[in-house]
This record gives sequence, C-alpha cells and structure tokens, in this order.
Amino acid sequence: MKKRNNDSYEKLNALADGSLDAPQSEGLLEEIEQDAELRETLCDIHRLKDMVRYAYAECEPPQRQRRLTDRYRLGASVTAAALVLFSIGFVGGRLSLPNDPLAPFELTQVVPQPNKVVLFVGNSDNAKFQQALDRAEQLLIQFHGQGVEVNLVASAGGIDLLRKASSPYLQRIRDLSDSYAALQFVACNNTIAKLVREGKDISLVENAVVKPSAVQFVVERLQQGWSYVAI
Amino acid sequence: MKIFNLGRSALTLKRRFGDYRNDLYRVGLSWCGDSMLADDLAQEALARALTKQHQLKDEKKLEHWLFRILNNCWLEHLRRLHPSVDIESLVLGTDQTPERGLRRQQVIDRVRSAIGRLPLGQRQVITLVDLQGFTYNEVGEILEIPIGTVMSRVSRARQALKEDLISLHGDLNPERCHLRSVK
Repeated sequence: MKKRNNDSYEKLNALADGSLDAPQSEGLLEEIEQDAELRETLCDIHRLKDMVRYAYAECEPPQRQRRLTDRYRLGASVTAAALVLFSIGFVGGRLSLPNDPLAPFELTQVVPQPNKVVLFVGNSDNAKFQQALDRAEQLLIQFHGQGVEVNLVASAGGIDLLRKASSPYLQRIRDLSDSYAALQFVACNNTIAKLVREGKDISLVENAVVKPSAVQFVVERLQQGWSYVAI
Repeated sequence: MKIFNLGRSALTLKRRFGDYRNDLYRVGLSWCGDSMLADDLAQEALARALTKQHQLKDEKKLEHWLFRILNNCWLEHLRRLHPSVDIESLVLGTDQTPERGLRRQQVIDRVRSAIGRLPLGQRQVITLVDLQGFTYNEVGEILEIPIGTVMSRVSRARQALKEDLISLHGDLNPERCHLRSVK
C-alpha cells in the first residue's frame, strides 16, 4: 500500500516537472480529475516548486573586493617578491628597481583594483602560451562588464608568443584583440634589444605594444593594485 | 574562410558561457549554502568549460554540460573536505534562521534552510529540476545517476520539503494563490 502511494507520489512529481511521457500523463490526469486528494497533492507540489524558485529568485553572486577565484588571488606580496627576485637574477642591474628589496611587500597596502590582472609569460613554451591566452580570455569572459582589464606581458623567452616569426598563435592573438578592448599584449623592449643584437627577426604581431621593461611594467601595475599571475 | 568561421563560432560559444554564470551560482548556492563558495564553484566550472570546450560535441547541450562540470567541481570540493564521508548523505550545517523582521527574507531563509537540510543527493536533483527546469533525463545525465534514482530522490525531497514547509508552516508562502472566481 505504502509502495503504491510512493509510486503515485513519484508520478505526480514527474507530472509536475514535465518528465512524464504522454500516455502516462494522460492516465494520471484522468485519475487526478476523479480524486480530490491527488489534486491537493499536486497543488502542494506546485507550491513547493514555487517556493524553491522564490527562495533563489534574486540571488546574485557576491560583490567581492577582488572578484577573482582563489586561484587568481595570488598573495600579491609573495608573487611580487618572487617577481623582483626573478628580475634581479635575470636582468641584473639594468632595471631601476626599488633600492629596498622588501619594497614589494608594501604592495599589500595599495588599493586593490578588482579584476585587473597582469599575466606574465617568461618562457618560450607553446603550452604556456596557450595557457596564458586561455586564462586571459577566461578572465575577460567571467568579469565582463565588471571593469576587467588584462595585460598579457611577454618577456625573455615569452616574447616568442608575440613574434611573427615564432608565434603559433598569431591569429588567436588578433582575434582576441579584436574581441576584447580590455586586453593588451605587452612586449619587453629589453628582450627585443637583446634579440636585435643576436640578429633575430623582431617583428611583432601588430596588436602588441612595446614597453621599455616588462619587469618595470609589472611592478608599476602591482603598485597600482593589479593582480599578478605568472604562467 | 571555414577556419575563420570556426574561430568565430568558438568565440561566440565562449561568450555564451558567461550567460550562465548567475544560473551556476544560484544552483551552487542551493547546494552549498555559502555565497562565496558558490561563486568560486561557478567560476571554476566556467574556467573548466573554457579549457575543455573542445569536448562539447553538441552546442545545444551547453547548459546541461556546464551543470555537469559544476557538479564535478562540487563533488571534488566535498571530497577534499570530507574524503571518507559518504557525500550522498551530507546535510548542510544550517543554523536557525535569525528573525530578520522582513517577512520575505524569513520565507527565503526558511526555504533555503529546508533545502539545506536535505541530503545532498536530494538537494541536487530538486534544485536542478526546480531552479533550472531540467527534465529527469537531463538531471540523470548531469549527475550520472539512473532516471529512477532521480525520480525517487525528487519524490523524497518534496516529501521532506512538504513536511518542513507546508505541513508545519501552512501559511509560509506569501505568494500562495487561492482559487477564486474572477469576473
């Protein structure tokens, strides 16, 4: 008896949820017409459906100070320190870095700029290039309309992403640039100068802008409250 | 030209992902009860969708596919938190709803609490059906469970909600419609 009631209740739910096939619906509707209790049960099911929809009707994602996922909320101080150490190690004294090596830790005190991200590519690695482009696009899609800005900075081996002679992603870069005004590709002039000295072709994809130093650029962005992600 | 069109199509598809952000968030919230976590789950689902978009064979199933990814993100989160617990039986630790004065908010809190008290398996099916309007077949595919299981879970969930929200609080829904003759 109980099983029959359960079956009947399951079917009523399926009917209310539009998941009962036509012949079964027809039979059940005839039963409902004859049975006041079934009608009341069906009415309760619809009320419950309305309540659930009502309870979640107007919920919006929270407005976070930084709208980035944990993956992108990268403790700016730690990454900035790593960046500066990296730059000191690789670029030597050519950069006008702060005298105090702990200076980047002060970056935690800057006013964070939600949804503004620097992605940094420093190696010539096609998988990383793709990852960088995917992440850039993901951020631009997810935070569309929320002031998102992404700078994809290429330096050292990473410059190959933007070089016409070496990049496997020229068309994708053009497509992304056409689609997202908030995306900027930045090439490091220090790296370009090095390539010139080595006699390499340094023509870049037309959507890239050249900045005197990638590291300097990233440090400035961090000081402006941007988040930094090394790919 | 064909390659160009394919590229444009891929970009259009990616833009459509963003249209589902609020839906993913809402359903995520109904599963976990935490707005920040729900937001993270929705974002993680979209991030995965972006990197795995080549796996989507039929664009008509985009919504269904996104919710399947959301479910995977949610289950992974639960496994990280409760590696040895049967996640089907997990119940949200909802506390007593504080009196907030506003009746509307009270209703919302009580319904959400009732949803939160459902075992996870029931909570997932009921919210996918009621919030997103998925059929039982689609819910079965998203959660990778048989349709009979979907049916019985929906039934049990409604029974529990009924006892919680209608039997005990007959006047809970301020939107309740009463049949009346109209001219």
